[in-house]
Amino acid sequence: MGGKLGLALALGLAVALLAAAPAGAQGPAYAPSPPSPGALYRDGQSGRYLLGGAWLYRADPSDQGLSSGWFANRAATDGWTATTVPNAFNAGDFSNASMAGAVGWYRRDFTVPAGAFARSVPAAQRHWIVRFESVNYRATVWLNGVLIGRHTGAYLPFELDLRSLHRGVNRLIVRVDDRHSAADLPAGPAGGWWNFGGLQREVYVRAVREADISRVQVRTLLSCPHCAATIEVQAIVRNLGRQPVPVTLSGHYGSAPLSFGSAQLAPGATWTASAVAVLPHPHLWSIDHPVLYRAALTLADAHGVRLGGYVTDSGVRTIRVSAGGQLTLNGRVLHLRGVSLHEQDLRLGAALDPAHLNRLMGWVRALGAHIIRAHYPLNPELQELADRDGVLVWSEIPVYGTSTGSLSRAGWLAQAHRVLQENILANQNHPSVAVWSIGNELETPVPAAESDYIAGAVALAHQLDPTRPVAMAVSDWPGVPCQSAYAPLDVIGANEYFGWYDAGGGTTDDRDGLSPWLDGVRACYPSKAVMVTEFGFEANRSGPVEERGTYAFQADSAAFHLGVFATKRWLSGALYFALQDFAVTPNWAGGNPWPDPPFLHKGLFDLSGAPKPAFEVVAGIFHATRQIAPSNP
Amino acid sequence: MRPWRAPRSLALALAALSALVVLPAGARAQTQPVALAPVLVDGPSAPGAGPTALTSSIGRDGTGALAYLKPVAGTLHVFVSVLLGGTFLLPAQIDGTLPGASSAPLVAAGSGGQLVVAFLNGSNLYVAERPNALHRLSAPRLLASGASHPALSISPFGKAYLAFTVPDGAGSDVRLAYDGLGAWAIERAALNLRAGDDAGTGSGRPAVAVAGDGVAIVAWGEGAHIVTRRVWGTAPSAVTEQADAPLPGCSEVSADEPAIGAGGDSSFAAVALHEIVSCGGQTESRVLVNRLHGSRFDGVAAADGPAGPAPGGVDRPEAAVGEYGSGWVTAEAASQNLAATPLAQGENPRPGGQLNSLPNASRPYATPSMAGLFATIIAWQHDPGSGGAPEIRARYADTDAIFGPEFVLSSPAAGPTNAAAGLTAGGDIVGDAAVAWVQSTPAGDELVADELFRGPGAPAPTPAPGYLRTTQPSLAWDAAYEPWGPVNYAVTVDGVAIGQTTATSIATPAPLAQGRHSWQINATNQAGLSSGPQTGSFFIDTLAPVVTLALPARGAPGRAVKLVVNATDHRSPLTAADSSGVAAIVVRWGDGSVELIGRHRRHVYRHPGRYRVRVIVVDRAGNATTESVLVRISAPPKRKPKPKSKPKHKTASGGTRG
Repeated sequence: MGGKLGLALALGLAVALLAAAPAGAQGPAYAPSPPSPGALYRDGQSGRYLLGGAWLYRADPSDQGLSSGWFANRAATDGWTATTVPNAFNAGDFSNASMAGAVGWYRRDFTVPAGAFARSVPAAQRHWIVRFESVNYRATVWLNGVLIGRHTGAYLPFELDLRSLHRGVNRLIVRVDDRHSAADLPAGPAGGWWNFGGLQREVYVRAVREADISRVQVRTLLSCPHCAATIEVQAIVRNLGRQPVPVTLSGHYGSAPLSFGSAQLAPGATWTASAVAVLPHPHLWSIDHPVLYRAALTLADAHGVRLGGYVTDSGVRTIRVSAGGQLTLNGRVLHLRGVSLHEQDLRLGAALDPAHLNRLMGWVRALGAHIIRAHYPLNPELQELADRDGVLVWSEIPVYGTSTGSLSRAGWLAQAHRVLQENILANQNHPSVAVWSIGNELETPVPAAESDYIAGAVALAHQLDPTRPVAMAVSDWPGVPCQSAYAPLDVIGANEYFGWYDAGGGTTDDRDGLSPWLDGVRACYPSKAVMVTEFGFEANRSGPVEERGTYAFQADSAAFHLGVFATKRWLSGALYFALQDFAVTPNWAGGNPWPDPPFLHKGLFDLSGAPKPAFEVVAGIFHATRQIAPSNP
Repeated sequence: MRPWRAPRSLALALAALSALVVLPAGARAQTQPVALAPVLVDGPSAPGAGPTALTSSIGRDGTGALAYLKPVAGTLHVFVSVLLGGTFLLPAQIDGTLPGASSAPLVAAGSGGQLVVAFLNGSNLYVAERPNALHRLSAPRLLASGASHPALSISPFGKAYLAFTVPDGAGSDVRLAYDGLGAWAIERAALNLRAGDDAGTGSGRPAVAVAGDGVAIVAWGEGAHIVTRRVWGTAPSAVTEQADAPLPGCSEVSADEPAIGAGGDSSFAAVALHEIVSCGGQTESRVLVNRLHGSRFDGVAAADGPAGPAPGGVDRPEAAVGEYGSGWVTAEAASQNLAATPLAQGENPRPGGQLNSLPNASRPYATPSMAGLFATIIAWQHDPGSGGAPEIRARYADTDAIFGPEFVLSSPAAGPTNAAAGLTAGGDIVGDAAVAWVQSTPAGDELVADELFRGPGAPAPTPAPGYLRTTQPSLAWDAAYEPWGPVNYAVTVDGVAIGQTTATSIATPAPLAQGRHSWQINATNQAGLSSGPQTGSFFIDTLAPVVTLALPARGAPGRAVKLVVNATDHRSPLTAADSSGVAAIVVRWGDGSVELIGRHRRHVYRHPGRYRVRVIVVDRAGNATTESVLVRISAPPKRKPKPKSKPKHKTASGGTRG
């Protein structure tokens, strides 16, 4: 035994030394390092490690990496360059080729962190999982030269078991292909917003002893604002080992105990555990008082030995559409003012670090916005900041630019439904999520295939989360008849650009048409909550107020539109588009007579992060707007 | 009056030859309008007492008006003929309360019958207006005194701007009035570049065009240049621009005769102008166009085709621009040929050409006008000189910069046309156009108008329920869009014509068979143009399902009985395709429980008794058959087993309709 162990240690040491050896003549020096303990956001399992630090990147413009075996478990670094993750491999490249997408490879050599498990934990009980928060768009993952999984789609996390992890150096290699087809989300090529490829968000590894709490869903039920709250908690526990595991799950929600009971988990089996707590006098989460409750769960074995844990913050509140067609939070009518944003930076692309994410939310706060929206699920750090700041989130999946033909294809539908489901499962604990949005600006008037998509997606979302309204952002303009296809929706997000974009043969040319058009939308959908999900104006220069694209025009127009919104007491909210200028597509003009492709300049902050004059105007109006009705005593 | 020009060089002579090249009709299939016969609007009047100074405006919805002068007791007054539903109504004098002669009538049409009429009475500038077709034109209201050179424009959304000139000290100022909220307001200060300039006078008279976004672009002559300024409501821009610039290789002498075209977005406007330039020592009279782009001009380009450098030169620019910036600039050559230059948003003007195919003996008085979002009609007077009487001709471009063939609008038998007294054109959003002119008939001077039609919009079959439970359904559709005049609808069912109507529904005249049917609706307007057939379908099923039940006659408490339902929705000799099919089977077990079931279901009765089991079978059309059967539930005998009961069968067809 001692001989075998010695041999194994010697081999491991040799491998480690080889891997840690200086790279080949043309590659960067690269030494493996362990991931750092902890995570950048709160919700989640115990035992998480951030796989940051030094990564390697290798561009693969001719897509030869697969055939050349770049996934092989080789220590040499020739062909690789140093990078960090998150990373957009085409950040700063605004060429057509960049937008069209390419293949790039990421590599992280790492050692297993010391202290991840107590010494007493046998090797057979030690397991690891890798979690990618977002990869745009197709990921293929190898560990130590062995393919461990694939995933398609950005903006939502996915996890893979690291079954071949061993002592010494481990080599994680990810092939990322961000070439979008017409069937992808958003549809490509060259669709949507700038196509930043890569590991857009963080990568974590997680130490799991025997069984893993894969997911925890907290659903808070409140029949009236002053009633006791019922908290339903559901956890998915999975046995990663090859032996049966008896487990007990317990915890608390705030100070209320949660008892899930015990289960005997067969190898590979999962246990859906449920518990209920009651808060007799809950403090409600609201935009003016964002109270969070922490659910903390502990998984233990039959002897009470702790195997793992999970914490997630949530809030007790209701968000509903009233019979009169208004969005309410805890029964209080909402007149939200907010802003759309893109997780984008001129230098970093779509791979924002915590400082940039905090800057975005700082701007949101300064603006007085109480609702934000992106065309995709937000970075989990942003989502948690929204929870803490009392900022609601219009949580949307990237169904945008999809052709009507795609909408009726079974493969596309399955993908869209999967993404919708993943978003709901990943983000439903956040009290800030106000609505689940199933898409943006599909065809108007609605063709049959879109009608079917709406009906199916709304039904799915309601089934997965009956506590939240389901929404869609739509294009509409004077002359569009009421759309019966919107019947399943609870909330209609109307994108309007009166006085900016020409829609419907000039019907939106004159901004004075905004007020009667809004009244028409309301008349069409009296029982639904209606929000203006987009309005905005380009500004990239000084100039006279009547000239589109000037700072003065932007400020004047934003004030005008907000003035009209203020007269519509039935309007549940309005979101300015967008918070900051960002890259869209190579030839983007955006209605600006002097455009600056590929950048959209409708932001209240410019590309450098400087506020434009419209920021002060919009912020002044937002802060002066009562965005939620007073609470009843 | 055209300026004196220097003798031409050889190059200019070659250019003059090339000016004979006529813009060819488009090679691709052009959708050309169909003209009806001209209609009389006013007249005949005694020679010399007929209409003059004719102008027109047609809104996107096809409402509009003609405005013109006509002598009343020897004094010129303003008359207006309203265009409504494709008909020019009887003209009415609108300045009857004013003394003295009127001049410079202008009309602008918004939508819904909104009209603004402006004119001078003496040197007083008056406006008369109506907000929509339900109102009459108001009495004239004095807007400004000492005015001259009015220019009027209105947006599709009813934002009206009226530019004019007033004396100011030794010179004149350009002023602007705005009506966006039902009341006129005059800008606080003159628009001039410099207060002391003599602006907007003579051939530098102001021009105005309002974009769909409600911002007006005003141009005028000032200091031998063309100055432009945007105005948003009552707020003039902080900046002005100079539209004229010398052509490459030339120096500029002077500029005048501004004309403006604007679409939906005021960021872009085409400013055409007449410019005297000196090129290589030769003076030329040219028509140029410059695109206002934001608050900058892109740079001048020739808009006089090959006739530009030709002997005698070119002048009298006109411009028409559609919603998206496409349009045309016309210019008239000393040779009386008509040049047309296409405009496109985001592009410099493309090379133009000569529009008229035949030599012209007098001024063509070209009237470019938009008809729809993209289409353009240019009408002009063709004068064959001694070879015949002048007539009105036109060319029409449907969606791009390619004109269709030249055609004659006026009736030769009605006498010579008099475009100097009036020639005007306009169009609606679907591409219909109207051209009006003055014609000297043997009976006297007449104002006539001709309408050119595009096909009507497509009628949309009203979404019918998937299945109909009548054999003589009424078929309905949403009306075809046709701003001008009635539409006739022809309906066929399964390829057989069933009738025509001007209504938007029709009853099928005879019973139709069970099953699926297709139908078509085709709209035809008064010009005989059709929308093309639009297809719908419906399904007739008036027959209820046939139902057979199988249920044991007896059962026991706590033990399941099995109900078998044999239901079909088609019956011989019809096929399954002729029926809608069974949609639902509902069973009422007689013990208070109701279930939606498949073809069979087990049920457990808790208590002994006689239960009537009712089964309702509904097809997809809503036809229902109800059938029932009795079952007796009793405790089983304890001593000897009961023989198994035979299922009780019952067959029914027809029944209660749901």
